[in-house]
Amino acid sequence: MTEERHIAAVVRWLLPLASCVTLVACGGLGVGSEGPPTPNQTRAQATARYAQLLRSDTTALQIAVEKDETATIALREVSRDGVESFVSSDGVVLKTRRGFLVGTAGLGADMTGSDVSQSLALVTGRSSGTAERFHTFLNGENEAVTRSYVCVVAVRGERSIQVGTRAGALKPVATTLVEENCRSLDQTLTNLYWLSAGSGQVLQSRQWAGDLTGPLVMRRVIE
Amino acid sequence: MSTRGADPCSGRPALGWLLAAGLAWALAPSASAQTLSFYGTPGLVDMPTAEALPDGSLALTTADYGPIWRHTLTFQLSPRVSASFRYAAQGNDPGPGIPEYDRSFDLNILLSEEDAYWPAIALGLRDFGGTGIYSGEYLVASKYVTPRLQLTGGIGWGRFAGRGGFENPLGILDDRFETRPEQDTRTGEIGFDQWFRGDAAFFGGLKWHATDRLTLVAEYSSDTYALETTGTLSPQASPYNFGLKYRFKNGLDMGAYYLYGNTVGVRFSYVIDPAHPRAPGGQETAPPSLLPRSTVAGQSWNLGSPERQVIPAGEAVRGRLGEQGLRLMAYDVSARAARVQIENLRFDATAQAVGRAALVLANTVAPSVERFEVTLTEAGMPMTTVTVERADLEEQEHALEGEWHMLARAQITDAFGVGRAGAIEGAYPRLSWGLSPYTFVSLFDPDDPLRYELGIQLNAAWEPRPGLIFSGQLRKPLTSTLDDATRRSDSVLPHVRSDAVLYAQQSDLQISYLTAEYFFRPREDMFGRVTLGYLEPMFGGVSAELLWYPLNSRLALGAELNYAVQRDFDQLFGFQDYTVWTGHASAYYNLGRGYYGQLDIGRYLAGDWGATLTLDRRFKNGVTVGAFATLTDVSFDDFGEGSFDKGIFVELPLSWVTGQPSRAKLSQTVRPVLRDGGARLGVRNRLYGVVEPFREREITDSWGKFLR
Repeated sequence: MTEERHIAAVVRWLLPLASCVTLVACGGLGVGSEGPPTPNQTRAQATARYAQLLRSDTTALQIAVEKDETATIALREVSRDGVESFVSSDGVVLKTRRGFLVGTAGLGADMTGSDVSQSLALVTGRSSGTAERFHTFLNGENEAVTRSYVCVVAVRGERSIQVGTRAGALKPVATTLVEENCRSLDQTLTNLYWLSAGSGQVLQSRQWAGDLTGPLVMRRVIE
Repeated sequence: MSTRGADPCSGRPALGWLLAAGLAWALAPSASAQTLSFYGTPGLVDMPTAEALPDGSLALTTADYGPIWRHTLTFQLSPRVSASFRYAAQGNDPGPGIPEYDRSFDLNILLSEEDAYWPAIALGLRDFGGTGIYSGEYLVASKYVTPRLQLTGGIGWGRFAGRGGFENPLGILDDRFETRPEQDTRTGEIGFDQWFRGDAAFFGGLKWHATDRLTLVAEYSSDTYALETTGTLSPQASPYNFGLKYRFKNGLDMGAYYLYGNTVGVRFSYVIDPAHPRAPGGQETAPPSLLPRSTVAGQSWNLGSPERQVIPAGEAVRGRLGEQGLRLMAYDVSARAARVQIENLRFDATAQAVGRAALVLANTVAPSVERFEVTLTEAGMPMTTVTVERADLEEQEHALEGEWHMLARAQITDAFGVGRAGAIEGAYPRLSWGLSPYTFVSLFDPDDPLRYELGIQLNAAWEPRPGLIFSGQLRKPLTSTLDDATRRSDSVLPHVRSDAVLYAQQSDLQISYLTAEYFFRPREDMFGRVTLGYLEPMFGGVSAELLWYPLNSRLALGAELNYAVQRDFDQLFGFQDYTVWTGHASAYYNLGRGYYGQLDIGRYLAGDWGATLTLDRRFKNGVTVGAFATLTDVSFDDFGEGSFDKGIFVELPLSWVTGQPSRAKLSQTVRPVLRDGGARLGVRNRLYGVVEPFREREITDSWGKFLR
């Protein structure tokens, strides 16, 4: 077999076959009786849920993923036990506790659990100090691995920021900016929180969501 | 995995190995900074270095030197030991005594790692079980003298002693080391009597990492390509090779070389780390968030008066489980406990199926219910029950390490004898069907190493009651090069596998299988199967199997007995004259740290008696890489080319590739040659494969996804 034939054979068959697998993988090939929902179907279910929430005027959160510069709006679906679950139109859930990101689902390498109580106490108290925070992440072998970080919390001062309202307008709000610098053995990360001067609520933040996703920017949509 | 024994067209998507590799290449991140040689193992150009790939890596390499193409798959099976399978196309008229195509296996052992003073040392056996053209052994040392410059020196025997050979220093130990016996091994035999024999020679070189992506290499090769240069390969002008290697951001590693003073060569490599898929842990949509119990109480089916209930709670559970890809088979609720039996259609991580079922129950059933008992069923058999407390779910949903706390508090028990209380009406009888394309790849025919068939297949199954399944598959090839093969079996054994070409040529619309299967649980920890009909493309008959597999046992034992009749070449209803009783006693053992062993002892399709040993490494995400070998009372001469049956296999869960849960796998078994000795019946749904996802190890290994 000559080289040309060899290459041609590989190209001739690899490409169509690879596209076949991709199609099968995406649920786009083959028909039949009832099977498990395809990824597209589960996303459609999530979109339907989202549409319902949209009608119910629930709390909204603007989300931006810094890494790939995507932005979306997530709506609060459930609030239980001090944790609010925000769902996006494609079925990703972000969980926050008093504005602190404590869980993700659907992003990949998800944060499945957190203990941010020490940081939370410092930041919401608008005081400086050191704190430990703990997160559990899923790894590539479906193991939940906990990592701990030591953080230095520092109040950066007053800031006026623009926050979107439900009506779609931008409204200036007086806030206090608090910065949290965290280190683990192999990582450093910076979280920023803008706390409303009045209510003390976290109105805007930039928080680490794990190795794969990186930092998220979250902003409350206000009345 | 259970069909690995013989079935050339598995019911699951048996897609080409190249194909899965190509897809993985397109989607997965690469792992390694090591440089690979022309032989697809860590090295310079042709010569090896004393290095190992990251543990668990799979490295795919294609390299071209003149008319020679080498394709190598290397698996780092432990931190220090790697094994390689190589398929080399030597070009037309490669020279006397060289086959056009050559298959070879290597073993590389890193004896010691580099430290501040001492170099890393590795020992290698190249082509220890092939036709012998590449056969050689080496001992090599490598040391980074600066963080970017690595020096390598080694001594080699066999093929490595082509240039500057000197009397074997091992001759001090025994005179027999001084001469290397003639190659009298056939493919597949292990050349113990040649290892480290005959002359030895030195080789060496250096590697300089110019940048993080660009590496320059230079080497003195001790390989003269003595045989190849009598064919179409131009004779060497120099013993020195030079090259540069570049690693692209997408992980592709490419090398360009100036070889032996007169030829330009190229190499492409890609290293996959199975432990690090593109989307670790998956990117499927989130599970339902737990609702406060007060909200659950307000759902219509939980309101006291029946007239306010739009649908009963059981119906709501069924619908919500269905959205998760879980089929409700039985639903039974008492004041304190809800018991469900579900069939998991969607999740390869078994614990995730249980977790989602528990979350659905917690969001649906009456607030007074405190305990959820989730029983997983498969093929109509109750397999495993996981019991969790509702309060624990509520407490741990957001907690740090919530999944591990749940595992500690969950009860996992064998589901034998759960009964049929609350069986869902309409769950049986059940008819299912599917129409889909299929591909089938046949590798290593010397006339065309990549033969394929594309077609369309129709599956149907009818289950009148739990455990009883009538099913069949029809295939219609649309385009095929399998038929073009002109080689005919020269086997002196009954042609139980070697007539594959006749099967391909004389069939068109074909019945891949058409069977009645019955699955049952004879007692706790035991599973049973009886299959009757057209069992696989080449054989029909009856097959019966029992498996003992306690919930948290490392060991499982099985026994299988089959009466098989060879099917007609047209793969329709007729049979040929050949009949055989075949069967095996099997032991499956979890060796720990992800390694598994399997031993099957018994009688094979050609009536030969013997045993198959299978060893594999399974990652917790389901990626499996393994090898098997079968020795039977058929002599190596009677077996023919290859001497005995052996091969390697790779299984890639679809979820690993796509990041979406799926129970489908891309699996491919690669055999250097498929002949009639040591051939196993390819009956579908062998019990170990059916039961294994539901035993405790599989459940706890996937428990990280319980709340995901």
